[in-house]
Amino acid sequence: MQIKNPVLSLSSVVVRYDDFTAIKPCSLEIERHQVTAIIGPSGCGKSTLLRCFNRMNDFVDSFRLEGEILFEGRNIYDKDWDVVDIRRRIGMVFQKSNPFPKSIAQNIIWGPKLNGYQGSLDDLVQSSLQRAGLWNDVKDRLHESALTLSGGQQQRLCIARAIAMQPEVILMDEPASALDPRSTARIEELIGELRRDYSIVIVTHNMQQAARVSDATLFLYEGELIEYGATDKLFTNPDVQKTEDYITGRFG
Amino acid sequence: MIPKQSFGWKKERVIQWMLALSALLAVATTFTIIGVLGTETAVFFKHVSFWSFITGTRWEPLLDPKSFGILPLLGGTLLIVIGSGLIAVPVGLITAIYLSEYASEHFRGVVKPALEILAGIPTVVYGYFALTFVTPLLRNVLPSMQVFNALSAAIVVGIMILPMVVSLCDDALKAVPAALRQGGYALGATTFEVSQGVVVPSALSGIMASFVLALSRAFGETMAVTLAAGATPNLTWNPLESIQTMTAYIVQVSLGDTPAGGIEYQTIFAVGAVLFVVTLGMNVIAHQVMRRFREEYE
Repeated sequence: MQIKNPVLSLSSVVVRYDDFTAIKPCSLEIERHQVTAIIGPSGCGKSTLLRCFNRMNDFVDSFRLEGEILFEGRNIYDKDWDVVDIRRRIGMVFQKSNPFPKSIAQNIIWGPKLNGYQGSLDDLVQSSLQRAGLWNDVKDRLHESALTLSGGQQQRLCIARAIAMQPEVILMDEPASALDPRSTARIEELIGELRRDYSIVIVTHNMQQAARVSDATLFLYEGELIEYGATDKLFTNPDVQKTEDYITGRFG
Repeated sequence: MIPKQSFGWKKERVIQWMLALSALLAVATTFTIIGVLGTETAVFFKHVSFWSFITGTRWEPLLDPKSFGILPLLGGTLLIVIGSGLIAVPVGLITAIYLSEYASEHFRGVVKPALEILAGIPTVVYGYFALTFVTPLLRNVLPSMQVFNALSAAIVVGIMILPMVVSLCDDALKAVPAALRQGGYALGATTFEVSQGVVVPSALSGIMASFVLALSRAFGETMAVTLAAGATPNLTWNPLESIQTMTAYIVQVSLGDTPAGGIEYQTIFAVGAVLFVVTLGMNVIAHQVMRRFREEYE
């Protein structure tokens, strides 16, 4: 797959948990300002791969990584690069929404405040919520608890929270899997809009969603990169037989 | 009730009634104690005005001129509660945060058993420890300290309730879902920022309740303060002086040769009633704090 302007690149990356190899040697690049989907059956390593990009796997004691993951040309696993800085620039939205038990506004400003955000916090709250398509729903109740929102709204709040950090990349780990179809559609619409300003990597077990939402798709099977290409091509005329078997549902 | 239709319902009903009776026994005991406290205290208040009891600053129930102001005893107890709280609350909370957010499993495996041992030490040993170790040690630095004093007692009571604070705070912190921490970390926050900004605020009701419970324990502490704090009803803020707590007073009168039926005897119940009401009140408050402010994470 030809990448014109990579934002992230993996170079001979292998991921192990003790003796178990979760990701087999893998080299690829992620295109900037695009939506890249990672698909594959359960347990194939999609979330593991995603979490390597913002070093969330560091919390697992048995995690080992070989190779390099470059972000803006620098290895994110470099000992000199503070992981906190990486996570500010590569944000994450989780499968199940996890707003803090604080007010809606406080959820949004908590991260930027830690970062020493200088501008107007009220403006930041408004612009983040607008970008996430939540502003109209909550503009009159910014000081109410975030937990009073519905599931879909909470997830959009989490997206707004991630956006407020003004990251370069947003990682999404099955962001709509816990939501009803209408909320899912809204999130997918949102993802489409976000690609203008951010590079998005989304893990999804829902192939149709990947086909709808992404520009490029990466198919992982048992930790191995099977195919990586433009979404249209991968879903209509894949190069590898296994890809075709998966997308036609011959195995789950 | 076990419905009549099921097999062996007679036997089931009998068992059901027996279990209910056991539960009633606990309730009956409680009400009996409250009843005795109440009636004897009522007798006390026939002879002593409630107002002078609550506001009087002189407690001299045995020698003439007699005086029944509870404030010196209450003050003594409060000195211990505040002193022990000043030790146990911050140290306990910080320890719990460390154990929950920073410590390795190995470290937890060492510290938690140590705290359990601390919690298992009989309170009389704490009293003895205060008298024979803490006081002499402190007197090197503070020569004006009396042999029986509030400070040494407060220190050991603080150590005594520390495991309770750590354990309850740890439970409260552990109840905060991992997903919340992950959300905090993913925004580029350090462990300190996540603990302080997300985890502790999310566990606040449990933490506050743990403080109230630990302080109510300190309020009712008897042996350590009887041995170490003194037998001198003394309304003072100076922890280096000898004082007497309400609990220590009850021990003193109960072990002494005060004849039953006299006003001195009735003071046991009046002081006991104050103890009961305050510790009950504190437990209710802790409960309410947990209930009303319990954070929901969903």
